[in-house]
Amino acid sequence: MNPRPGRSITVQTYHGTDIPNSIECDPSPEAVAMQTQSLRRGTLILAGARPLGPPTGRYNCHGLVFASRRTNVPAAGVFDEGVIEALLTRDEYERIPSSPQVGDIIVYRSDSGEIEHTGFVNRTEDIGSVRKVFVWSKWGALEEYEHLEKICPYGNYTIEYWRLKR
Amino acid sequence: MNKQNSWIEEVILSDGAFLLLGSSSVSRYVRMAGQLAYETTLRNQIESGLVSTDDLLNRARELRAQLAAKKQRDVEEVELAIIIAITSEIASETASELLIELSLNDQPPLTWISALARRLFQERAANILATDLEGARGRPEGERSKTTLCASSDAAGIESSSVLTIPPAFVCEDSLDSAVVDLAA
Repeated sequence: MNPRPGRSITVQTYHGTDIPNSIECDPSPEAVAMQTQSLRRGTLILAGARPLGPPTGRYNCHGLVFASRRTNVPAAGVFDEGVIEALLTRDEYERIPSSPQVGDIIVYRSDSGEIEHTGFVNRTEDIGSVRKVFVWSKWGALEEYEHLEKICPYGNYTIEYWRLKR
Repeated sequence: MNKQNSWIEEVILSDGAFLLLGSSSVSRYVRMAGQLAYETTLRNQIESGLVSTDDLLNRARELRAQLAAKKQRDVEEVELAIIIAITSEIASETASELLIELSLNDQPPLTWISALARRLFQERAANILATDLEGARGRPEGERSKTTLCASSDAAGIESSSVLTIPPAFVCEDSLDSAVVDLAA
């Protein structure tokens, strides 16, 4: 169990600026069991979303992508608008128009333009002219999943792909 | 907490646990709590008077106390988040006081609850002022303390002319500025 929930660690961008973060407490077994009964979750599982690991409050989706599973980015519960946008710039990512590859970052942007979810492109499958993109991401304080890009709780958002500048 | 003791339907609690624990940003957490508040019958029970505002606020305090005593994010958080979203639409000083009270303690596992209460209180101050400034025009004096929860999710906030139920000291300058612009327009 997390000995000191809410604490921060030093994480910096490629440019050397500090990244706000916090390591939070885990969801209880009862809360985890309750969410497995969710009809919304059940629909996504039936559509092929595959849980990969246990739920943890240690890191969130952005913590998986930008902090190697060590912490939540940004710190949980704080005003977070623009934080992930700034991270992409300071880590020198650039948006790519199409044809995502394994290792690219997938960004889910809400109607208000805010980035609400990120993950990694895990694999792609070309079926005829259609490319199926599989994503590896963490859903908040819940599990990591492998899922198709649209088969997740953030699937109705605008999707972008980002890659390190060459 | 036993699910059977909850004021919220089991199916909504399950979806709520999935949506709220699955949120990585405050904006999404607030939006999900609001969405769940529109799905539960508790909201209708408040509107029809089957559940009083005082009972609702007491329930919120009870859940907060239970959650504060835990070391993990637990099922109480889901019910409490939904109740907070409902409370934010009630135009009364006691509802405002609860939101402030909940926003002050942001120690885990209350971090997200605190952020939710803070955000909803901030939005509430602006809504009430704007509604007041528009709604008070042309209404008879006798109607100005009526509080009604909106019937549809399209009509955000409350329909109320409870003028300045939040003490002016709580209203931020930004809200006042936008209200002035509204009035001028």
